[in-house]
Amino acid sequence: MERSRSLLDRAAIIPIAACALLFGSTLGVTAQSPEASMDAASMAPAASMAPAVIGPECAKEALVLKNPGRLTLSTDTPAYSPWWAGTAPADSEWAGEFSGYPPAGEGYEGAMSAAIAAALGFTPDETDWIPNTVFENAFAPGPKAFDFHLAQISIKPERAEAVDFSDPYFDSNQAVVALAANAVTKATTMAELKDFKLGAAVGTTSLAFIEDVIQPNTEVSVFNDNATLVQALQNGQVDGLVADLYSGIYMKDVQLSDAVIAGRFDSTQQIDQMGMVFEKGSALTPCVDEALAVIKANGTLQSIYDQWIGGGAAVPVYQ
Amino acid sequence: MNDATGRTAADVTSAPRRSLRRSRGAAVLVACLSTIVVFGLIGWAIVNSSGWPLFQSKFFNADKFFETEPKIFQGLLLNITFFLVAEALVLVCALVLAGMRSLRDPVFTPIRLFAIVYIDLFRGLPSILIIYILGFGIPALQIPGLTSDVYVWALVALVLTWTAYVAEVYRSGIDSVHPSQEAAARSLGLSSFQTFRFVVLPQAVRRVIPPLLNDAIGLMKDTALIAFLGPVEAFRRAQISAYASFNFTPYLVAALLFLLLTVPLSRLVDYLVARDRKRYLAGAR
Repeated sequence: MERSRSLLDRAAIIPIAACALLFGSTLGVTAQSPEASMDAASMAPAASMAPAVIGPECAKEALVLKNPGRLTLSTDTPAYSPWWAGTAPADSEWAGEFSGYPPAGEGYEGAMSAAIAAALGFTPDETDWIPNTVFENAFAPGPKAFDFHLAQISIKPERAEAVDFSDPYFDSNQAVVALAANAVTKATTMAELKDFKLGAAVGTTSLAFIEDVIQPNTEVSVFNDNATLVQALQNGQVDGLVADLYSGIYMKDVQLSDAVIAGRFDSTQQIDQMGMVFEKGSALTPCVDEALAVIKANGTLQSIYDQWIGGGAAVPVYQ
Repeated sequence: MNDATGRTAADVTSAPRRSLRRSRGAAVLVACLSTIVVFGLIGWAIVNSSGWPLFQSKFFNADKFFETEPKIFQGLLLNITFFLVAEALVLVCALVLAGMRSLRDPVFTPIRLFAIVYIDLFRGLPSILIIYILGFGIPALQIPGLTSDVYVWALVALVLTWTAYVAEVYRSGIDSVHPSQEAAARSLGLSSFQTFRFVVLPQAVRRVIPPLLNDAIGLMKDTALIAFLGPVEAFRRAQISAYASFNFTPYLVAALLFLLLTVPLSRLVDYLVARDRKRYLAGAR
């Protein structure tokens, strides 16, 4: 029986190989990746021909919302400054040392979303906020629990295949944050940056920027979130981290000690345009775009910018 | 020589052998057919389910597979390097720890206690917590002279954790050796240490090779945790690719590469164990 069992074992390779062939053929034969349908309207910023007024199809009663009669918004938690401000009550899900309080309507994104909600006819009491913990969840494909989400999310073509974006509401550059004592602060050109160990958070345009544009000689360090990224910089485990300029300013001022903005990249090298994220095919997108056009035209957005962002960026540009 | 019915001795012995061979062949055929039918049916049911095209494009996308495979393989080399170094250290340290745990003389009680507490602590704590504490916490203390290199601390964290598991495996092997072996060795005049080193340990280690392989594969998978500290290994690279394109096929690539490593390793160890058993059982089974 020993011999017949081992014969069976060896012969069993035949059906296993057959199954492997079957599996391989499903990979090959059914390898029709669906054509990416680039929705041009959600990619390019709307022309400035849009009238600075909310049309009747975007009246409050006509809007298609997740929770009729209420506006459901979302942002990441912790809600970092200067995008969000305000203090959460102790029992709120937003409570935390570094987190703002979105319902307060303060901070650049906080004030802007409050202004857009107001333009659409919603008061803060009629607005619900959902905290999001995983950055990529916002722009992953699939149905969403929110009407729209905003958390410094850059408009990118691959993301636009999975979700809809509003018109851009903020232009940002990437910048390098470093400890003041680190040699990376002496670098003035992109080529000099190649010699240093840089870090970024996973899924961000900062990481893509490091890998595609800077292309350092040492492997980039990738972290799950900004919290561990900042900790690694503080420990000296990376020479510099790359983040968008204003988040970098916050990290430098609040989360780090003895840190500086070592430099930033100008718009010829990279520019990130931030947009609000909607479920793919959402009917709300054009209405929010109209509301955004309204607050741009009447100067509200500029005053929000002046209040929360201000001068900020007297930082050398990498050549 | 013919028997009563006229059959020769050769006929008598070869007839059952022929029918045995035929029934063995039939068994193999039936096994092949039934396996193909069952898996074929399952495969057909899956491929024809309504969500299959979407699932296939998100998880089994051939273009994405070959596009991301080279970079993920490079990340895998980091996993393999870590695994080799960590496993070597773990096998040695765990043996020392198991030895410490097995000391029976009352004068060695503090050593035994240390071993017991160490094992309880590092088995009970999640590996990810240990990696965070050692990888971020200790460098944050800025103790002069202590490196803040993430590779060093990741290695230390993995070795500390897995030494605890493997030490228990060794201990079970040591305890499973029959006391008569030790009694016989002592009565031959071998010292306590000599008994352990030359009689108990060789038998113990041979017995626990399958569970040791278990823990080796577990350590291999745990090397993915070093990604939390910054290094881009296979699963982190898969995650970056997956997030960039919202396609999960890169995870499949990483998983298959891991299997390509662990499955041949398992077969190799099975072969070595079988060869070893044949040698010392000498045909007894």
